[in-house]
Amino acid sequence: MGAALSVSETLGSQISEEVLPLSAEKIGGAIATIWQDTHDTFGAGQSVARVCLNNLIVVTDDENHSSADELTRDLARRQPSRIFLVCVSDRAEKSGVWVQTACHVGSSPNALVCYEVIAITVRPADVNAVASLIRSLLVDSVPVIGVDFRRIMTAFSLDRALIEMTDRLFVNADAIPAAVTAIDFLPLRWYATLPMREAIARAMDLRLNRNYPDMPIAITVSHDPPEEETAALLVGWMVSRLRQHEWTIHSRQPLVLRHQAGRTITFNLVDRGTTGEPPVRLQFTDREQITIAGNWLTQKRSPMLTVELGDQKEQVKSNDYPLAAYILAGTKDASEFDDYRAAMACLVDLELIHGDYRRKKG
Amino acid sequence: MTENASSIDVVNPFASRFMRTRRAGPFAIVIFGATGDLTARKLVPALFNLYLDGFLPEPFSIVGFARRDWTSESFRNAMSKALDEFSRQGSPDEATKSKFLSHLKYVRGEFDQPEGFERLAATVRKNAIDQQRPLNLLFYLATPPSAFETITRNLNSVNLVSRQADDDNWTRVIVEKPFGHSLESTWQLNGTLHAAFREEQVYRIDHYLGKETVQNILVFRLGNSIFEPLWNRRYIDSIQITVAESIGIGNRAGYFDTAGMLRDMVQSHMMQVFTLIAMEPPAAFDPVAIRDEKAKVLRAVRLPDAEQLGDHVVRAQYTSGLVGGEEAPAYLQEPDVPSESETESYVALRLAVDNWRWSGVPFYLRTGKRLPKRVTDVAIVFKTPPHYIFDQSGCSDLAPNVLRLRIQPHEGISLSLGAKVPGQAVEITPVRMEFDYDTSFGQSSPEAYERLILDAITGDATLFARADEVEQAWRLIDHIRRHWHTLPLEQYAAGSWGPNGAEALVAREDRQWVRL
Repeated sequence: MGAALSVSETLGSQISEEVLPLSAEKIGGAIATIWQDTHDTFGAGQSVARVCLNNLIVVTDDENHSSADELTRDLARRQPSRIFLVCVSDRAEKSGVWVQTACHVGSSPNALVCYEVIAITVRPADVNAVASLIRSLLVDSVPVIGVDFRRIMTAFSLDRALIEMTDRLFVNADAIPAAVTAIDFLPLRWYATLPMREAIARAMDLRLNRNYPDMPIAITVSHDPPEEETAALLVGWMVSRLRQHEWTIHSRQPLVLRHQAGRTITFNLVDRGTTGEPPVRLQFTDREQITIAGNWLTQKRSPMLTVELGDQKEQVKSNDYPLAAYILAGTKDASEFDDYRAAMACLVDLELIHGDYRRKKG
Repeated sequence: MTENASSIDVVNPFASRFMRTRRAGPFAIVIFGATGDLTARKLVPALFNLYLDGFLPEPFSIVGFARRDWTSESFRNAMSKALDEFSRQGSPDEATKSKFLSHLKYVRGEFDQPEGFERLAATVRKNAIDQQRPLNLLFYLATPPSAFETITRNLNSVNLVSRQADDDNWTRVIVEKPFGHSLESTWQLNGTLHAAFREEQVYRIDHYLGKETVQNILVFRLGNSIFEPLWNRRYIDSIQITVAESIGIGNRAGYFDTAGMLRDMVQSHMMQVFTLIAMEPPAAFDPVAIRDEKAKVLRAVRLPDAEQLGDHVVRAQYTSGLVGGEEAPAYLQEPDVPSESETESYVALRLAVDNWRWSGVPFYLRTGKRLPKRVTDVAIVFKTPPHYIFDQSGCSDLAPNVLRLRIQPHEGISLSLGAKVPGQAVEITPVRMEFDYDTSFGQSSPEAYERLILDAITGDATLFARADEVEQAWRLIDHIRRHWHTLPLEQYAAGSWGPNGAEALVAREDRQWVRL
């Protein structure tokens, strides 16, 4: 169990002394006790502000445990929150809970960020108890954010509870229960396109900030077969953005957008048929045939991107887009959710996916 | 921005709304006084942090202009060291820093000689052509006001100033305080600036207005439904604004001894904070509406009669003492201070605002050097309940509710409330509800200069002082100054909270200063 989180510069970090049962009362008691100990650690006269801005529920399985653990550490470092780290584990001998509270120095030298992590390891057989456990331990009046790292959402009661409890949900699974699409949710695949979308935005800025701004006449997204959905997402996003700026779909085969001023942009979504590097490549071609391209070196959750803006070349590092920052930004700003919905609506409109977001065959 | 022949929508349809909601367009900033302390400590680090945070997309250019015989390379080297020392976010890696520094250029020139300005004009024009961007120019006058006239005249002579309200080729100028030293000098200064720029192009910077809590005053007042109904004479007893400094005058005796606390601090920072607290709600969150209201409340400040000035104003100078356990010399013993100086290092004021909202509510302002700690704080003291039902339990001394807006250090807001002490008796004690920016948001606030420079680049003048605001503030200060000699110059020990007269100022109305 990855219960004991070690955050650098942690002051007065306290961990429950023993594995606790799946009992809200026991866990609540343990939190109260170790907060008292934390307070004592700081010494008399020093006040410890216990601000809590979010409930964060991070769900994982054995396979994705290290990613979830890493995210939990990062979330704990950034904002005072109550974090539930739930690992649905086939390997665990029995279910149990560790509790940790800690304060550490924030990004500003005098700021203390305090957090509570309730790390729950649960055998699949006990998973029904977890939802009610979390529900009774949620801090009131603050948002509930869910992050589900499992590739397949199989623990139905937990899935239902997540959908019901969370204000916003980030999921890693490709197959998403229909109920999820009814709430504010984002697949981590969408997050993975963020560096590319930001690169596209910057590339366009660069063009438009010059004296003779112009739009490209063609946009080509070429991809490996496994990256078809990612490439489609990018196309859906670009088309949805253009439609918000007075561009309309002129034709679907080939996909051509037309501006009311008479200009057109042709989209090409090209399946290269073979795997290779980069898995996804995007090119803007303008009238002078200058190419602005982004090369994805890897499309994992921590992408590395090379962006060529005309004669300029820059690399985007994975830590420019930390997932924890993205999730916390999502608690305040719904624009990513709006963008995703708009992109998906476009793909439905283009008949590339079904209305329930399932991919169309062929 | 220039449209091409096809008249296409030139707004970036793919602009990212994630994390970077407000970004600069293409521009060049020209810093006059580029070899000075402000450039190294504040301006270039602020630009660097904006760059790191993605607010300054390509293309842009930073041009330093000063007398010193530097080159672009030596300017970059000096700024590189400054970034290491003063950048809020440090410097993530050498490559990023080098890339940022590659935007820096230096032009040597005297402020009063046109040759340097011709070189400057050639540099910024060539740069704009090379970068294929419009000639959007932001001039930052990090110089004494005495240089403003020659700089603006020379900028005009080389046609670097455009008075056109054109989004494609804009020209703006940021000027640092002091915005004059009297009403008359402010008129002159504004006249100088207006000879070259329209008022809308002039951005008078007061870094206090870039602080989160200062900006939050309006959000707090007008973004919450529970406070604005209480924000008036019916519920508020008095308001205290404190700007305390623990340091002395350092090596600024030359400037400070001619200015004093009243002109250095009250006219600028304190009046800005005062107006945000006291102004009427603007119709919109835009520069015109907000600054209209600020000017209006300044016009409503009642000038005390000359005979009663002593009841409203206290001035004092510090004697030697201990500040934070360390010995501090008296003001008169500070380096370069004339031995007979009567310059005030402390001032306390009682202001009255003649309007419906604030009639009868005193605003107490105090500011001083060599006080026990560095703190800027606004305390809104509410009236006590009209009827104490707890009298019989011995709780007649209920403390009033006090809303505190802490501007520095540790920006935040607190509200003190009376709460029952657990136990059998009805014992009431003040408790505080605290909101701390750093802790709550888990991230450090951007430096005030970052916010304000980005505002100027994006053309948002909301947080900059307008000419009429500054003139109204000087109207008050000049009135006090005219009778300055009639007020006794009190003394206070360094490390104390000020002179006895300041205590008397509030005590005669049966009040006391809040504890800081």
